[in-house]
Amino acid sequence: MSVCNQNVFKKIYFRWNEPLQRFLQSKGMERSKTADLVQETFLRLWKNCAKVLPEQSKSFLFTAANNLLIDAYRQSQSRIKLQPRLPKTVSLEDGQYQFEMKEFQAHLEAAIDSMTPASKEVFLLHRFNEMSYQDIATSLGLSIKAVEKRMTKALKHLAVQIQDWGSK
Amino acid sequence: MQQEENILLSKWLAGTILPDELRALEQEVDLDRLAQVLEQQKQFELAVEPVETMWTDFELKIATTPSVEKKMPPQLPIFKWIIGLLLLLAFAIGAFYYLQQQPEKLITPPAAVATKIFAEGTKVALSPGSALAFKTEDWKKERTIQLQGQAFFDVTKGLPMFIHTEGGTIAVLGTQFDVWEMGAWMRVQCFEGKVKVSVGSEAKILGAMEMVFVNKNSLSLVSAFRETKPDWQRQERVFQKIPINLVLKDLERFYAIEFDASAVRLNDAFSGVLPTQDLDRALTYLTRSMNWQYEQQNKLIYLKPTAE
Repeated sequence: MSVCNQNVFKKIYFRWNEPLQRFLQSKGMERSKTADLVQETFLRLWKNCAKVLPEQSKSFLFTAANNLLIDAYRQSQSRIKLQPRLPKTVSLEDGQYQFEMKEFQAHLEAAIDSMTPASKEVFLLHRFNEMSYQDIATSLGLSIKAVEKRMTKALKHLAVQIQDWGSK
Repeated sequence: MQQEENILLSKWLAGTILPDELRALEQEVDLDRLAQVLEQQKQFELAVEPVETMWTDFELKIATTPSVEKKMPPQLPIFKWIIGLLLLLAFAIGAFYYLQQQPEKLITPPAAVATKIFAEGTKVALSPGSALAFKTEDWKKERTIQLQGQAFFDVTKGLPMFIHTEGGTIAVLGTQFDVWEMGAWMRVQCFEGKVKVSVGSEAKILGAMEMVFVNKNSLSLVSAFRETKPDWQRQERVFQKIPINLVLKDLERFYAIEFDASAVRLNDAFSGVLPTQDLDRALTYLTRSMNWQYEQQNKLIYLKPTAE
């Protein structure tokens, strides 16, 4: 089946849209711009659909997104925004739980945003994009050791921040 | 923190930490609390735009963007076929009368060549990604051809022949010559007989084994060459100080490839000889002399500067 087939294309679109949005955010792209860039990325795939096999579409998409990101300027000051994963296991009426979750989310966002851009990037890719150290090393052109160093720096920063969140 | 401990936390997270190292780390960091927070963090994800809404926008976008592959027509019921055939017939009759007024066209796709032999014997070999347009019924008065790209002409003696390009006009009687045009840039090589190249009010006459360049409405001095065939028929491209963007377009024409040059600067000119039948060698030579690297994904070639 060709990528030019609209059903095949739609499947690819739905499979990789969210991972691409998160990938670009992790790499420091401002959230308001990621959607446009993701559309542009898929448009590139559409224009080249005859040249790309379905199983190659993932690497095509991520390479294209990376290139577009380099074209666009890199926003190291962008702030992240988290959302609770669905489905929720706890009932929505549980006000106390909701409140704690909201508070935790705000703390976590602030902690991540105050990391150095290099460790923030690695932390986000590893924890929110399901990328292994090896994947991150390849994607950023670093050694695994360097990725581990940045991850350690991120965790250390997080451990320090936690102390200020107040004991539970 | 000491050097050795630099990656202990990431080893801890990956589960590859050694017992000794763990004991040392526990002295420094509240690991239980950190593990708890990381566990809780898993309940969150980076906020994204809803994919359904994005898809609706995207469908609108691709409705106006043709993909490279042509869509298969959907199966139609038989009566629609009949109406379709009638319409096609009406269209064909109309088109027949219309086309008699229109010039004939010969177009080569990238990586393909074609030869056109005219009734009076003139032969035109068209290089990849090029186009000819002509009206043979007018040839009793005057032989006129429009050219885009590059072609080698072997013109039979007779009425004057005029080759029109964006950069200028070439007038000939009976001769062999090659025209290579890329917009405002053009090279004309005369292999036999005489040709006249005109650009605006300027004109130069070329004898056998002489060539001239046109660049932005001005003609270069006439110079001599020794080859007996144009470069593209010798399976190579000879570039002399050609702006690099034109060189890339030319390679796209010969290899049916597409460059993504968004990561490199296209200000420089390129001089050199590139093969037309060996893509790897052409790309290696080109990128090396421009200090670039390339990455190939099927027909798409990404260019990027060489890392320091």
